[in-house]
Amino acid sequence: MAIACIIIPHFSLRMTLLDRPDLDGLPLVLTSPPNSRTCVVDCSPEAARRGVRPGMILREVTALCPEAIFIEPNPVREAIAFERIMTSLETFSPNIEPDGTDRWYIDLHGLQRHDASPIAAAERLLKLVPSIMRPRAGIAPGKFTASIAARKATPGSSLLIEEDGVRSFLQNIPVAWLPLDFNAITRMERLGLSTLGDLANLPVAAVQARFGAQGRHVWNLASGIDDQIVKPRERQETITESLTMPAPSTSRDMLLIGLRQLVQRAFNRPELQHRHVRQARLQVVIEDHRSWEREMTFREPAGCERVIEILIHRLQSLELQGPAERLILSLIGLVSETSRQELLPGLRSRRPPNIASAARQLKRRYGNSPLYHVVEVEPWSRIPERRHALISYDP
Amino acid sequence: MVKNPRTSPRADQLRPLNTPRSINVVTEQALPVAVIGSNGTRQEIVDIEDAWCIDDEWWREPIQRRYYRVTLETGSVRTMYLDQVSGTWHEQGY
Repeated sequence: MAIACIIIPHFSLRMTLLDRPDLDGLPLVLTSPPNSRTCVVDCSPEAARRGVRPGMILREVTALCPEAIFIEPNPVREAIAFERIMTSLETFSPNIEPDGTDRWYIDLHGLQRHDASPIAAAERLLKLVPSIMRPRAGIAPGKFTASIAARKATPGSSLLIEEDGVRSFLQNIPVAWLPLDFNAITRMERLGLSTLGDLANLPVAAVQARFGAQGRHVWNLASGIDDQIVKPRERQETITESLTMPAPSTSRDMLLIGLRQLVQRAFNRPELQHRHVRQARLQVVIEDHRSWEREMTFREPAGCERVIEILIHRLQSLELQGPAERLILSLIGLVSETSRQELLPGLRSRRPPNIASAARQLKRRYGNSPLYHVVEVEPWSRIPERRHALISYDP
Repeated sequence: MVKNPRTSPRADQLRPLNTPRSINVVTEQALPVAVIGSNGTRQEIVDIEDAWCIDDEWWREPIQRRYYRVTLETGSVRTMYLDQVSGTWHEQGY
């Protein structure tokens, strides 16, 4: 047996049950983040049985299912829960590939000595995930079939697909389960292809002619030909610092002071001596089990002062949904210090004083200076026209 | 040289620099093959040196651009992008 897949459907909702197991079995509805149109993002099977569907507005949900419990997304808690499960699964094998936020692929090659059978391996894997998350496992020769098997398994159990049974197992799976975008799926359905069996029965050349390279790939998957390998995640060197606020605070100034302290603390660590960073992830834990998260990629590797400058600029329009309790800053992608050569004082151009006197003369003559100078606005921006701007030159 | 906007300048007024300029591009299989100048002359693209994407601000007005750094038959190197939201081509230094 080659590959196992662990799936936790409705991960964001199940994750809430880690803190509140009493909600298990109730109709749970995950709402969209605040500051956006509030609608259903996901719902538990109990809510789905009462007619709740993703995309509905909350008023409709209340009418359909008055006992529904609304849960706000908590990206920080979710990231922590995901990381814990990942770390737990890595005790089984280091060759684990996370896919999205709800599934993991595990390469079982070479693990036969540890487990008597693939089912025993799957059961051992399932025990590494809290049972309240209702994980499911699938085992198959390829990644795609393993993920379909995991989706078909009942909560807390595993489904094994032998090599010679792959094609017949995939025969009746709907084409909507293929890794294709919505438009491609719709086109397939319009052509009368409803199952993977229908797709696999067509000549590969015809599918490729209609759907291109992607078509050939999914035809292979539907036919049980899957040579995708498990790619373990890349481990980027990361520095994480956190700060618990003395009192929950909504003040942006207070947050910025805390943030400055976090950046300075991170850059004082020996791992960051003479080094710069490429990315920063800021997480804010907010009162009432809520959180806010943002990841920022810098145009150039940045040092301490530059990181502070960029973070402060990016958080200028920040509006939190409540008082912040804790700040967590992760600096990702550590690289050697980079620098730029500045001009020596003796080599500086004499031009600025001349321009200043010219500007004064023009201002006297025309009433205001028609000269402009270039200023840095968002020099780190990936959008070129945002980096610099012209401002009236009035010395 | 910056054009006179013929409005009274204000010290707090910022004017963006390096704004994109619209251009006409001939494509084949979604890749640029020639640039049509404002006077209608066609300049073939002999090489695409680099290509990269920008996908930003999806929460308000999405910015989705695919940039190409190309060499023209005259030897000049230009940076252009396809605005994937409007489907139009622009030239802009990066």
